[in-house]
Amino acid sequence: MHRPVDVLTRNNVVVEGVPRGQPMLFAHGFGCDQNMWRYVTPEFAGEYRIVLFDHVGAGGSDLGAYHRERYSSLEGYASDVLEICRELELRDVIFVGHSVSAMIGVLAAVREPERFSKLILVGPSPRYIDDDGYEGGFTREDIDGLLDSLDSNYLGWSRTYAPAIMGRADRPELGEELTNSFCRTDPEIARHFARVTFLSDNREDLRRVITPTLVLQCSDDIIAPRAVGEYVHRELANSAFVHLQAKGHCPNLSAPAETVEAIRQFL
Amino acid sequence: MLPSRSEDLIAELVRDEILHETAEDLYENAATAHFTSLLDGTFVRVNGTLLRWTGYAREELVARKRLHDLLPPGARIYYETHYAPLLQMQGEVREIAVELVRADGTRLPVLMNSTLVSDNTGTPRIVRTTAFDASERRRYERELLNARADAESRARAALALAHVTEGVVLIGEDEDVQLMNPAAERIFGIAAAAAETHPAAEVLRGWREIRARVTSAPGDGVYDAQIVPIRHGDREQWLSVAATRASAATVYTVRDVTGEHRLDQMRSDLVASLSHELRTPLTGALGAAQTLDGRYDDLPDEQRRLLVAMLVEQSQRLANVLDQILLASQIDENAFDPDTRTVDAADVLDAVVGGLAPDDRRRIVVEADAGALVRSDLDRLRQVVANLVDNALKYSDGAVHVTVTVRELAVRIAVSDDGSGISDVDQERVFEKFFRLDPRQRTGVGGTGLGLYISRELTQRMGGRIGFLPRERGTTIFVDVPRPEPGATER
Repeated sequence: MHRPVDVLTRNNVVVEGVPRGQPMLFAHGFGCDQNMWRYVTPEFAGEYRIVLFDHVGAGGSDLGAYHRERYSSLEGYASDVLEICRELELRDVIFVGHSVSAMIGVLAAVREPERFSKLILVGPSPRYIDDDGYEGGFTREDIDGLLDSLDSNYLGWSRTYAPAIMGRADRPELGEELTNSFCRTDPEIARHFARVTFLSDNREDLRRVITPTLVLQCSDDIIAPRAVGEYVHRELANSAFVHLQAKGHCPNLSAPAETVEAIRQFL
Repeated sequence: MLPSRSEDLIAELVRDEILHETAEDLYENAATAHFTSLLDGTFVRVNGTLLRWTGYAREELVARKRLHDLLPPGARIYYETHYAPLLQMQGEVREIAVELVRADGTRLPVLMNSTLVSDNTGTPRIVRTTAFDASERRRYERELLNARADAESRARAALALAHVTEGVVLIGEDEDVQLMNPAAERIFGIAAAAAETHPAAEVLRGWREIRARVTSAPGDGVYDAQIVPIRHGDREQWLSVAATRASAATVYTVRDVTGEHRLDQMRSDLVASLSHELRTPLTGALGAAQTLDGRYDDLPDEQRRLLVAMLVEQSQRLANVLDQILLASQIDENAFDPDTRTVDAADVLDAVVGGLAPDDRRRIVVEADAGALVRSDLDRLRQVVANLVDNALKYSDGAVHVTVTVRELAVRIAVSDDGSGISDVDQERVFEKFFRLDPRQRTGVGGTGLGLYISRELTQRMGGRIGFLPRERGTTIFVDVPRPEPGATER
C-alpha cells in the first residue's frame, strides 16, 4: 500500500566529512533544521563521517511524506533515524541530538542499541510538563500558549522565515543559497510537532538506555532547566554530565566552541 | 502644498523651537519601543516608550530582567526555539509576533524586529530590538485566523455533505432548489448545477408527489420519514423523505429505498407463495385424513386405499417443500458438503424419469450419449435435474426434451420445453432466492421460488455451472457437470 520511501530524500539527508570515518549523526530540535549545526559540524568533518538530516516537516524534507499518524509520537521520528542508519549502513553511530531530538535519539538507541556507540544529548528533557513530584518547567496551559504563538506567527510565516535574511554583512559565512531555507517549517506541521514534543513523556525510556551518553546542560535554559538535565543524568545508567557556560537553549549556535570542546572531551 | 510654502513652515517650526529634536529625544520618545539586551536577553538599555507601554520603571528592567521575563511561558518556548536560533544564524529577525506581559499582568501584542550587533572582533555582543504596538493588527489577525478556522470548519461540513449517503436538498421559500449534494444528484438523476436556482417541481422528478406527501417539521423538530413512490419511464423508485424547516429554507433528506422496498415485496411474496405451497398439500392430506376418520367403516376398501394413497402423496409433497427450505438454509450457512464420486449421467436421468408420474413420464424425450461419466454427488445431481425437468413440465404442455452430451471437459444435461419462455431479464433473476415468475400464482403454477436457487448453488458447489441456451421458442436450461479427470480411478 505504501509507495517505496526514499529515506534520503524524505529526510533531506546530507553526508559530509570522512567517507569511511565513524559516523556522527546530528539531529536538530523543534523550530529549526539541520542548519543549526553549521558551526559545529565543520569541527568534526576532518575526522568523522558527518550525517545531517531534517525531520519530516522541517527544512528541506519532503512535506508530502508527513503523515499525522506516523508522527503522532516521537517514535515515528525515531523510526526515521533508524531508517536513515539502515539506508546508509551506519554502525557505531555517535548520535548528537538537540532538544527534542535528544529524546528521539534515546528512543532509537533503546530500539537498536547495537547501532549506537555514543549518545550526545544537548538540552534534553524527557518531560516538559510538571508532574507529580517532577518539575519539567511548564504547565499544560503554557503549551497552549506556545501553540497560540505559533498561530500568531503563522500569518507572517513566510515573511519572517525567508526574506528576513538580509543585511548580514558581518556574517558572510551564511551563503546566499541559504536565503530561503533557514528553519522553515510548514505551520500545520510545526503545530503538530509542538504538541507531540511538548506533551510527550519519555522518562521511562531513559532507564532502558545502555549506550554511553553525554548530557550537555546549558545555563539559564528555560526549555530544559538544570534540574531536568540532572534528572536525565541520574536516570541514565551510563552518562556524563557537562554544564556549559552558554546561556539559553541553543549552545550549538550561541557557543559553538564550548559545545564542540565538550563533545570532543567526551569522545 | 507648494514647496516654497513648506519651506516657510519648516522655518516657522525651527523658530518656535518645536523642531528642536535630539537623537536622545527621538530614541526616548519614539513611536516604537526600543531596547538593547545582552545575548542572554538581559536588558541593558530601554526607551521611555517601552516603559510607558509596559508600566515598568527603568531600574526594574535594566540589568534586572531579561526579555524572557516579559514573555508569557508559551512565547518563551517560541523565543528559544525559533527567535533565538534565527537571530544567531541570520544576525537579524523581523516581525516576530509575541505578547509582552506588562507590570500589571495584562498583555501587549507587539511585533519585534531584532538585530545582532558585534564588536570590532566580529563577536556578537548585544541585540537591538524594536517593538511596535500591534494590538489592532493582532485583533485583525485573530479575525483572519478565526475566518480561517471558520472556512476550515465549513470545508469539513461540505466534505461531510458531499460524502453522506443520504441525499440532502435545500429548498428555498420560493420552492427553488438552493443546494443539493452528490447523493441527491444520484437519486434525482440531475446535476446540482443544473438544478440549483430552478423551481424544484421542474427539475426534480417526483417533486410534486414528495411535496404532497411530506410535511416539513419546524426547526429542530423531526417528523418520521415518508415513503414516496415515484415513477419515471418504466422505472419505479421508492424514496424515503423527511423535511425540516430551517430559517428561510427547508432541508429535505432523501434516501432511495427502492432496494429495501423490493426486498419487502419479496418477503410478502414469499409468505404468499410459501403459505400456498404448504397449504395445498396440507388441505389435501387433511381432507383425506378427516374422511377416513369420520367415515372409515362406511367406505369401500378401494376408496380407503385411494384416500390413504392421497394422504401419503400429499404428506410427501409437504415434506418435499420443507426439505427444500431446509436445504436452502443449509446452503446459505455453507453447511452443505457434496459427496463427489464418479457416476453415469444416464443413471441419474433414469432415476429422475422413473420418479415421475406416468402422465409426465410420457412427455419426456431422452437423447443421451453413451458413457457420460461425471464427477458429482449422485443424490444432489438427481435433485438438480429433477428440478429442471419439473419446471419444464410445469411451464409447458408439450414434450420435454432432455439431452445428455459429452463435451470436452463436462457433460451437458439440457432440458428444453416449448412453453412461454423466459425473458432475458428474468433469466438473470430466476436464480435469485425466492424469485418467482408469477409470485401471486395467477397461472396456478406453484413453487417455493427456491428450486433454481438451490439448483444453481448445488451445481456450483459441485464444480459445475447452470444457465440458459438461446432459443426461439420455449426454454432450454442446461447444467454442465465436470467429467472425471483422465486416469482417475473409479470409486
